[in-house]
Amino acid sequence: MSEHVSINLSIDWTKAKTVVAGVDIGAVNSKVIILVDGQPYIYSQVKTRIPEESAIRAINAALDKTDLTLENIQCIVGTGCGKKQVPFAHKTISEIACGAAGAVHIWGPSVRTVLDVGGQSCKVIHVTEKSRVTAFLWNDKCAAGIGRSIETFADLVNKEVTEIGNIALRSDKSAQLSDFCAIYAQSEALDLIRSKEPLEEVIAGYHHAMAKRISTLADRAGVKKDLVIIGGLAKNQGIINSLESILKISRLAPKSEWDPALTVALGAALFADAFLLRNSA
Amino acid sequence: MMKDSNSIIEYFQHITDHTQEYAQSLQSKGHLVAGYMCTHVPEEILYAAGIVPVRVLSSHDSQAMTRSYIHETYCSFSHDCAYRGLTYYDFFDLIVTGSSCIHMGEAFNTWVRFAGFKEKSFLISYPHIIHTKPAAGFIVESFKEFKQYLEDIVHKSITDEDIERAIKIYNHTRRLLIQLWEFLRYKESPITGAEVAIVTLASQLMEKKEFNQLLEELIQKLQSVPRKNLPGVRLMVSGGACDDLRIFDLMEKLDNSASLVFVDTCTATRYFWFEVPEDRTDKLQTIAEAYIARIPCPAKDNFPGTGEKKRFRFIQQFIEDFKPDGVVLLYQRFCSPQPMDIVGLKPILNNLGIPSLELELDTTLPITQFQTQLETFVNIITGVAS
Repeated sequence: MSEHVSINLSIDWTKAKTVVAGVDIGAVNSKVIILVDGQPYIYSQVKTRIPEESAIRAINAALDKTDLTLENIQCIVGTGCGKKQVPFAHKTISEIACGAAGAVHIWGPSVRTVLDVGGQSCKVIHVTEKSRVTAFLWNDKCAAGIGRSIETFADLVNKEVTEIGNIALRSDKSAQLSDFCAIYAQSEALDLIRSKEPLEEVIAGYHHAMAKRISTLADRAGVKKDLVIIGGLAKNQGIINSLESILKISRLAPKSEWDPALTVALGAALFADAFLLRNSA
Repeated sequence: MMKDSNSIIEYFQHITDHTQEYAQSLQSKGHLVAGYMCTHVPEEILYAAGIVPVRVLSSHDSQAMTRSYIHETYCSFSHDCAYRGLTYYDFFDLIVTGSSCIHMGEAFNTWVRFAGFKEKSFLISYPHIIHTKPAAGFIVESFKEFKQYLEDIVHKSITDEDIERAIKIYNHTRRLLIQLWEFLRYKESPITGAEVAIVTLASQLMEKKEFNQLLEELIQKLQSVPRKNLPGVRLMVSGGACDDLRIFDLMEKLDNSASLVFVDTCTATRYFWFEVPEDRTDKLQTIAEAYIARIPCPAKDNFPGTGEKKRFRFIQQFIEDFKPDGVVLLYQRFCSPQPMDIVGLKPILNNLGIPSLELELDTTLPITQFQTQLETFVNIITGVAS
């Protein structure tokens, strides 16, 4: 899926008091959410290439579906690792603060821990009921346990990244693989495949190894209930099942109306809304 | 005389950026120059012998060469320091270190075994734990051996007068550096923390008389320039070796405003925040006791029986004096002693109500990631989203 756009046609933005946007330039995907009077109106998602170009492509993808123009958007907040390269953003806010705000908005004030498993980083964020960040821990300098490690593994076993998590679930057993390094784990996985181990077991083993790596970060930071998982890997059920079993805690179930990969962009849009409100007060 | 304080700071910055050029200029003036790799090296003894100590610091070059000499999972600082020896730092007349952590020990071994320093190197033995009664005696014996070794190199005896002179010059450096850092205790300062960090790093690279003269001049000029408000939240850094000055610069250029007010690392205040008592009879005993009494390196800092960390007392005192709003815990990737200290330090910071952030250093600096983490940390402290 290189580009995806969704619009809520029941909303008439021309009658709205506020139109704001959040733009999340992630390592893998760039996302835009436009809120009209606080309600989600459009979201778009495109592959990230050059951050500035991706920001423009993502906002254009959203605006192409409507007669709304960039000038009609009263406040735009940029976030994500490419946040400084959003040329049309009025403000930038860290993806940690945006992830927290988006998660509390989607799942409610009981959320205390947000695990953001993105393409290039993994963060454990502690939040208050008002979505204020009280502490966070970022992954160390290693690809193991982040989205890229699953992408490269999917390439290796010639599967789609969207289906590989479900393949992991098909196996009752999982192969033992190193959780120290994504590359070592993939090398061990290849050895097992060459030894005719069932592919599902190898894929399950790899998911378990990456989940173990994520769990060490979560353990270091501490996981308080309620836990939610956001970011692209939140959609990989193979990782989630392993993670829940290792951490011995279940996440709050995903909301069907929200793609967890859009949580950070939503948080940015909520901040944009708050800024607009503050400035007009 | 330089025209203003900025020119002096720029000169110090130039030396941190062009250390090789500076060290070789000392040699061309007839000085013997020793590279030293750890703050456990008693520079006073080298200086008394007429040898100028210049600290070996990171190259920050992305390289793979040292992977053949040092274990992959040794810290990047040790890899970077080893790389200096294997490449362009072969001009030193001598290389010295103290037995501190095993990672830096391997960097030293790389210089000795593979960079041509076998015949011109000295490892000063240190006890593993320094908070014991026999530690001082052990260190004095090591210093005696070191002194003898240097005497053989310079073909003259190092007298008590030579050592006393060196002690006084080094103490003068320490007092001046403390005076400089103390500007940052207040809300208004004529110099920023990032600039003070530059000067402090230069102090580890320069001939001390020259450094002292320049620093005296700088302090004199700073006393007459208007003080500026140190903006935003006050950040203290605590950690291991961190000679990448860009991280301090980054802290002071965040979107949401912060000021660096103190750096507790072995490349900053741990290097100089102590004095060697002057005019004592037994010079080596006095130096040994002073090096034990100062802020300890985490690799050596354990009270037998209790495991208490003496360093934490210093950190609490610095927090009281410099009043940081938050502490950034900086450590090298794969370092063991420093992150182990964090386990004990965090509850102390929590009790003091000081939030902390851990950042892991490597050869290169992930600017965007660090910026995001630092800005979020500042937001946590201020309680404002942006």
